[in-house]
Amino acid sequence: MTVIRGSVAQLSFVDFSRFLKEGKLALEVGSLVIRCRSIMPSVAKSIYTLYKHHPFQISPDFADFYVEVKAPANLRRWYRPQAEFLVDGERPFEPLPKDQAPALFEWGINWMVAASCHFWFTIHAASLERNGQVLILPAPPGSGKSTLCAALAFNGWRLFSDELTLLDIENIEAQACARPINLKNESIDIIRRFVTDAEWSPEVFDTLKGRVTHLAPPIDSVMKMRERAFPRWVVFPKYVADAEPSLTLRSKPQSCIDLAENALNYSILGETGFNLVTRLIDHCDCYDFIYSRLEDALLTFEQLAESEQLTRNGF
Amino acid sequence: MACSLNTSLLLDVIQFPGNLRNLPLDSWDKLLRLARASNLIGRIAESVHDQNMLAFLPSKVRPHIIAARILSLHQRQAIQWEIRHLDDALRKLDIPKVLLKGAAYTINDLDAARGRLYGDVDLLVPRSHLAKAEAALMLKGWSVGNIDAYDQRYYRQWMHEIPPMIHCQRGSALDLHHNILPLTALNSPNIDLFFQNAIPSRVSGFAVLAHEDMVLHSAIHFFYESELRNGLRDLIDLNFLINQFLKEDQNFWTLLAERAYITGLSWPLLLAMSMLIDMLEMKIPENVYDNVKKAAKLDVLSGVLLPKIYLQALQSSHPLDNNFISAMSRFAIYIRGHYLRMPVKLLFPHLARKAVGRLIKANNRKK
Amino acid sequence: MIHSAEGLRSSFFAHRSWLDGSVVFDRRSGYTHYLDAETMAVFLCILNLPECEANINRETLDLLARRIPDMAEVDIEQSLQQLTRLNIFTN
Repeated sequence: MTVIRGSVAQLSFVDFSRFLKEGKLALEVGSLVIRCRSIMPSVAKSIYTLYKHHPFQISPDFADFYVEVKAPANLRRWYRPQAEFLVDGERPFEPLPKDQAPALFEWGINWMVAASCHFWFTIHAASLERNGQVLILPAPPGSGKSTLCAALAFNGWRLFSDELTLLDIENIEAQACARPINLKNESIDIIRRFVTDAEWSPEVFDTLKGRVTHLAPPIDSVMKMRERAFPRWVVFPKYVADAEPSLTLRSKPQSCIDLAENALNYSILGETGFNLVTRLIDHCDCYDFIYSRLEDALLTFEQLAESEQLTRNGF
Repeated sequence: MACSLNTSLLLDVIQFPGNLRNLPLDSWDKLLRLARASNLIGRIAESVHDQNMLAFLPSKVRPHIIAARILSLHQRQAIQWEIRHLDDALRKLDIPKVLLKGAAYTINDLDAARGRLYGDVDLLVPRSHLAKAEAALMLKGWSVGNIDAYDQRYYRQWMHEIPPMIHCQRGSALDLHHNILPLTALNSPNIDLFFQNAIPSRVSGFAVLAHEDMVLHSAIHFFYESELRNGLRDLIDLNFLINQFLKEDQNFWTLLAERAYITGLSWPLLLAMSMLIDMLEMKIPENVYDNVKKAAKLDVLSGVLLPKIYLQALQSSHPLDNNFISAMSRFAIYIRGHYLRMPVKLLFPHLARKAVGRLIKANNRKK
Repeated sequence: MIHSAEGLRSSFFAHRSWLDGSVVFDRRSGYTHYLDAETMAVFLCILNLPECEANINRETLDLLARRIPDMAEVDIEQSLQQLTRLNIFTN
């Protein structure tokens, strides 16, 4: 007998694949319900692995989005096969090589949230929670943000998101998604050594991005994904080889500008965006963080969280 | 109504927003997707806001409506900012500048402007001044995107526009036109008629088309456009334009028919009227319809078959309504759209070249 | 150097300040600017002038110098240049 509600792991892979093929499977991701369709076995396997602990629904009355990953209906179905991502029937971007189909599912959802979910203020940043406070790590590519995020997520911090930090536009409260973490190249090796008991999707190689894979989120971050929390720290990390860890306070007005530049819908929100950014920066402690060793980073952030606890406890 | 269930639902709530109030959750599920795909979700969001209905909607639906409204407000603002920048770039040239379509509706705060989410700015200038205008814009940061030489020629020589210009800082898109139909099209109207009739906009230095011409342009756009994704939206635009202009002048239908006759555009007007009657149950005075029909001089095939095909295709650009017949209709429309724009002998080589070009580009892709 | 601030109104802007500087949102253009503390002081002063002068001239400069006594005139002039560069006056 098939279960129509529960977590993905409670379905057999056969049932899961069938529901996915028929477009009946809906994943609960944070506060969103995303209805998915794909007949590609690689995609089924990947979602089944990476979203193992996420709740699912079958043919719900209402889904926030309908997404599909499929082969294009043209020559590229057979010749140098590709996969494309559709949301609500629309193709937002160019197809990718077929072996990147599982990754395309993830990147497509990122795009979809950033392009449509303006009931949130979306920042290109990682976010994690500890003691009811949220750490936001905005960073352009190459800053080591994803590696840092993965390390923190498996060491005492609850993952909210590795890519898209979502803040409520009414009160800047952060919303968790607990989706798979995107890792590339050396960070894959680093995190494989750092995190022992974790699930991974198969690695793919892309001529531009290099080696790419996704890491399943820790189970407790998924269990608690509906629990929101307020931001407390905004830290701009930077990986510098052989550097000693260094956490320095940042100018708040400059942090506003830098955060706005990392925000995906800042200009769409207009003056509301300005008010959100200034409110966020005003409310949070803002830092630059330079590091080379992950162990140093973990310690620094742990100390940050502990000193905050001490302050709140009246010391 | 000869529409599929989902399209009917969408058209119904667009025209009668009060019906949104008691919509069940599963109807919203279909409605939001179709509205998003047809670029009409902003319109729905604006109606919800105008009628203070947000609190009455299911809680799962509310965030999407809020998000759509935010986008629509931003779009309105963005168009205004963009036109200011255009004014800055082109003021010294002292040439006629006519805003078209969405930008025109927005700048003059027409009903048809409400809820638009995305859009380029479309600007019409006389052909003799096109090069000057392009140069002035490039000085201020606009440039034609990365398009190969063949496509550039297609745009410039055969279409009625230069390739879209993107601003290097703002990323906004500008379509510069010198006619409202491609030069090679069989029924290309005399563009001077449109310049002569243009009326001032709310921004000094910029004009918009006269009301009748605005409707005719929208009708042309609807039927000569070879991609149907925005077809439903164009139909709604026509509906709101006509209704607004009718309120301002009871004789609008007559004026519209006369103008169509003068400009040689009775044919697209007739087909627009047929679609409006068929899909939106618009009331059109019979004598006006007959006059336009006479003036259009259509043969039976076009007059009867095309609306039927179009009706099918219009409702089928979304997987919710996909079926084989619709696919055939879509294909027919695509071919006809291109046929009307270019002489047949030029049509097929072009299509073949485009498909091969895309394949070559894909092989050599450098992001 | 002459700067023109004709028609400038404080309602055009939203802003937030800290000790080391401010951010200003220009409602006319949607742009957001960072201003250091001195430039912000000059900017606020100009916004609070009884009528916005068509030209910010010698007189205005003197007025500003009086209103912000701990800023040197050359720094005030520099701030005015910065504000002009950001198109805050004209837009």
